[in-house]
Amino acid sequence: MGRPVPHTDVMVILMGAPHESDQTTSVLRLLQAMLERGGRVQVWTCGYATHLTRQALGAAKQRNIASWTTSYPSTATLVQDLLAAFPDQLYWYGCQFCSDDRGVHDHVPEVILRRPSSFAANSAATGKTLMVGVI
Amino acid sequence: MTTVREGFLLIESQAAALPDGPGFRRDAVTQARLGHPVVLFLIQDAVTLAVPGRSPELEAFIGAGGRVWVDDFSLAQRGLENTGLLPAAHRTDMGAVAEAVLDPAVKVVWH
Repeated sequence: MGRPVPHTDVMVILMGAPHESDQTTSVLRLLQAMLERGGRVQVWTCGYATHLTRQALGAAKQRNIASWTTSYPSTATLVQDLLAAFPDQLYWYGCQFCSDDRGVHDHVPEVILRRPSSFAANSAATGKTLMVGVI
Repeated sequence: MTTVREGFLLIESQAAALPDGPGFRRDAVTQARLGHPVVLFLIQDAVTLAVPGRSPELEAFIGAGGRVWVDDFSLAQRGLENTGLLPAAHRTDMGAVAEAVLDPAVKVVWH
């Protein structure tokens, strides 16, 4: 029997290359706003979006020459912070196949890896799905 | 007014011309003309569509009764915070969008 999937209000399916636009920023803003309103949300990352939670990204991005003393958290840190701030509301899943295909073997430990065949169970455990990216 | 309680919330993030044209925005016009309550939320590069004369589809959408929200944050990121927008375009933040996404009666599509 597979791992039970907690029911959520919304499942955000995050696909494609996360840095080709402001997409990652937009999605993180939307997640935070939903969580602050009491929403329960799961994120499923596919494709290159699986890179967002790599430990290799480190805690912070490289220093900004225009703001030398400011620390900018990496996307992995931002996701960890959201998960820590909303422990019973947010779940972050990564596609095992897409991770393996792209050599992403170092997700932060809070990320739950799921096989593609588990996608149906996740989408059945949510009131609404919202696909972001690729299309 | 930046609340939506039923119908469609269509999130447009793209402004570039696509090979098949502005299909997503044409879909929004069609839904509005069919009488469905539709909000088109412009975010990222799509906020530029709210500048007058930039998008015939957006003006047709408004003419058909559709409502337009424009993301304040995306406007500011592009130096457009003081730019005049279409009178029917409402500046908003992610809070209103989050409430709509969480509402089971609202169908949401992101492009």
